[in-house]
Amino acid sequence: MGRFRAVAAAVGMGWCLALSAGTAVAFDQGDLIQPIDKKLTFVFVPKVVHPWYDVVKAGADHAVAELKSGGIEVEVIWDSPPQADVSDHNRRIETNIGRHPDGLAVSCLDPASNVQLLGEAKAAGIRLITFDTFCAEEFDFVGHKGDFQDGYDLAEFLAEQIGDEGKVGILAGSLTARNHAERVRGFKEAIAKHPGIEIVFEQPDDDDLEKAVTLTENALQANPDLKGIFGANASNPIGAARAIANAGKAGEVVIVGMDDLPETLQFIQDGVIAGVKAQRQWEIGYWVVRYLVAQNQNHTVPHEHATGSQILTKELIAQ
Amino acid sequence: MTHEITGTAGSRPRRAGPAEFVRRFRQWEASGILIALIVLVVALSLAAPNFLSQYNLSVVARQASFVGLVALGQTLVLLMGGIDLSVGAAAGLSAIVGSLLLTALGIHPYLALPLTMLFGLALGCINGFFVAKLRLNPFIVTLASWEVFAGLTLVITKGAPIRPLGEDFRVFGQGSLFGVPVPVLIFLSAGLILAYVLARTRFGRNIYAVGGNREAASLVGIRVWRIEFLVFGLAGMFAALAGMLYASRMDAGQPSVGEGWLMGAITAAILGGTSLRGGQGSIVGTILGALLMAVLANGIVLLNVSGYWERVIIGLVVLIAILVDLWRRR
Repeated sequence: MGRFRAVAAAVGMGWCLALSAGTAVAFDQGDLIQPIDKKLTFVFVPKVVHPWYDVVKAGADHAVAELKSGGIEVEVIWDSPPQADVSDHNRRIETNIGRHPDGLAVSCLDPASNVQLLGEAKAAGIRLITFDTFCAEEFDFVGHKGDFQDGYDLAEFLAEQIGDEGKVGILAGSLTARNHAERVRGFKEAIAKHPGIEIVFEQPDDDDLEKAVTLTENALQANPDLKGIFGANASNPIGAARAIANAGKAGEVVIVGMDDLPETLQFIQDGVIAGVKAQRQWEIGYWVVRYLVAQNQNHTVPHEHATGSQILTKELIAQ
Repeated sequence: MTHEITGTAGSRPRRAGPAEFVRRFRQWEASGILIALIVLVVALSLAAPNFLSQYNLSVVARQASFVGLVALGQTLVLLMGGIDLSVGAAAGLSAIVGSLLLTALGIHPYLALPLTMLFGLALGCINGFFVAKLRLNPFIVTLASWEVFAGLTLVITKGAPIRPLGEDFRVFGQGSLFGVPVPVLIFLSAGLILAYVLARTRFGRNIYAVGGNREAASLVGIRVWRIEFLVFGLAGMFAALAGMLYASRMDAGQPSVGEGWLMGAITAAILGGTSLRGGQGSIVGTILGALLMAVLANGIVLLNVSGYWERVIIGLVVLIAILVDLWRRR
């Protein structure tokens, strides 16, 4: 009996040792995830105060509400430049590095100079995601990168609408905005494959709605037989539509452009704008918040999340 | 006119009683801005915990330096009774030309910077020629050259930035000495030199004289056109310097740099007590004005003021500063 006990004890201890040794070397990857034990503060720096970002914000707010029901408190701060001014935009990024938030989301206004500061933010240990406009390979990105493709697709759509022939014009947006320039490049490359279509004017509207109206009016004066207009940003299809509707040429001149602002949707329903490529920017806001929380928990997140775009037409809206 | 500059530098009360000090302080054109700056700094230190961090302070000072340098040149023009609307565009064009000197021509940064400043001086002298020699209205002349400079920038760059500008060039915008960013040191040295020139040299006194009364200045034998020509040239030179420092800070020659600097530069000068009618104002005031603008912009970010409200607040602060100025002169 005594011997049995001794043996049993020895075996038991052996097991215990083996077990404890086992847990010592076992590697539970779940332990890598860190619990969130405080309120997280994220700062979004968009390019400019613009209704387009209100939809991004709605997506971000939705994510915040979801997270709250899961017990994670997040505060999202929007630090929006009142005008699209590169120095002001950079100043905000710089100031926010000093504030050291738990997450920083930046929409690049000027990738060339933003890269420098975003690099400094990362070096300072700030969790960073670029959104809306692609900036550089070295930073995580949530948004739509296919600016060239958007221009190309809209050119094909416009060509189909005008029966593959006639004069068209381009409202080129801001000359210093890379996404505008890329859309114009895509548009022109596609149009080059349609010999019946001629580009008769190309003017920068600086993302200024009033200027888009004036340019369109001038273009109509110079080319009464204008068949189509391509707008490279969110505000110029509206400007073009106002001018065309004013001239009583709604439907005669086919307008295509970017994004689904409320006024744009109204013009599509009224048949003044034929179609727009709309981004799903609600998704951008939602996933940026989700990913920043995930990063704070030491999760891995996708380096690039393409949120895509689609051509919105009257038929599609009716559905 | 010289009595108006007594407050700018080197003035010492003969009897240093407290009443005398208050009187002197009220006479000084920058007293309002100094009070406003102190109030704002104290308020922000209490309201925003990060405000006084070393990083934030150096960021604010550096941000003040770029617009501040442009404002120094603008102050000279305003003192003379003129205005230069082209400074922002001159900064942008110079930064692009400077970036090309560095990249396309491979010129060493220590040579490229003064060369670019000379280029800015030349741009300013074009304005100076039209204003001083042809006696055209500076508002109209510089409105035109603003468009030309900004347009040339786009012609050269097609809207694309020029980068990178090279390791050696970064020291001007990104470097620091004893914890103080290099642009801040350059800004303050430039300010000191200008303050000295204005208070102690004939050229400086002549600027005030021309601004105070052009005809009288001409009658007493001041060669007015030379003063005007040079002052516009200097405004272009300071703009070029600011543009290059910013390019160095961002390691990129950026076509849209300087777009927002014009209003900032004029506001800084006016906040600092410089009169739009000429003849009155000081460099110290402009430096304080540039600092106030930078501190205000920084506070707006740190306190999460909505972008929709921001310009309203900046406008109100300018109004308050003018009211303080009114109190000073009564």
